[in-house]
Amino acid sequence: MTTKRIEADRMDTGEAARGDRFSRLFESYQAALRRLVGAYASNPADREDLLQEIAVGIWQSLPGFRGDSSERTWIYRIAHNIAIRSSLRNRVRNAREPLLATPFDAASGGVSAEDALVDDERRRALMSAIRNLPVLDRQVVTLHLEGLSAAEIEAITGVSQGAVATRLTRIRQKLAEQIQAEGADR
Amino acid sequence: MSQPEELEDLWKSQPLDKSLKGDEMRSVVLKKISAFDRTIRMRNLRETVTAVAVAAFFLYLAWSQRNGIARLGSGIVAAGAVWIVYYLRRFGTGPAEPSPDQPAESFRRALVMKYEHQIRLLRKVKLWYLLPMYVGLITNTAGLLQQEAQTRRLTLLDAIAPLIYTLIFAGVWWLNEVYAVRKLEHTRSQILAGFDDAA
Repeated sequence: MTTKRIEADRMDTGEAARGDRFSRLFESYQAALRRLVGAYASNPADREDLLQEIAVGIWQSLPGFRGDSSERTWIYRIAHNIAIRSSLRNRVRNAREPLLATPFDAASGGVSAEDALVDDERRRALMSAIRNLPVLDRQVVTLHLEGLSAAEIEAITGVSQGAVATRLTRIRQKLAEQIQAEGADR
Repeated sequence: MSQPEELEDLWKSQPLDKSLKGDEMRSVVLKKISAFDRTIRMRNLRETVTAVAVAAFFLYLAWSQRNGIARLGSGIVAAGAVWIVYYLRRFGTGPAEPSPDQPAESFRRALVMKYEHQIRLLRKVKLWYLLPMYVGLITNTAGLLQQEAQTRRLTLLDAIAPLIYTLIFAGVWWLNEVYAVRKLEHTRSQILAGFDDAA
């Protein structure tokens, strides 16, 4: 076997391992990433574009991942950095979700259609309110809602842990006001 | 509604778009990367072909025209076309696209550097893009008019062509150095402000 051939085989194995790792990561974090792109774009096509852009970022950054941070922090960091770049480039942010743009989940958990409708309205109002937040607030609140700790949020956004708590109090208040205002409008 | 658990429940129960398998997304990613590379290659090819075509056309004019000033002008335009492509290749790309897995602060700094590079490039557009072409075209026109003046009296109508070039070049200058730079500066200031006012 020539050196060239051995090198080529090693690269093939490396690419296959990268592919497997990517597939596993994407499947594990897909739901969280899909929720995240919903905070930046209301249109399904824009959401899919952003998700694909994030997936490209993960694929390209994978060879450089040395485990200095947790997998979760690393993925969210990529996703949020790309969402920021994309929102600067495409101006997809802040678009308000059109009424009944997505089907509501009436069948979940045996709740009545009326309850499901109310939940759906509130979800819609929440997403709309989140999309209206400044980008940094949007990052902080979406990471918090995904269950990340203040330390993890700091590692991703650069906002200090103390500032995260202060921001979250202010953001929650703002979201509640906007959701209430949307409820009153309908 | 403002209860944290309620917000979290609402957030996590949102209906999601159709999910993909990891392998499916991997093939989407590879297709996207290859499409992007192809787009860049095609753009570079288009720029080079245009520059070669413009240079060849004006070199032909420089060779076939009788007036020395007109020939000089055509030569300047030909050289200008080659210079523009060289400049774009040499200085146009700027810093590499920032890696998205770096901490937010250094990612923002890298983004700012990218924007600053584009702003610098656009601010100099009159020097590296407009000036060689404009000087060449005006010199060429001056030569042609000098040649015409030997056979007829020049009128104000002869000023129309250079006036049109001037207006077009002024428009291109304004679009790049004023309009585009203003937009880029606005985006840069949003990044510098940490996106707190970017909504």
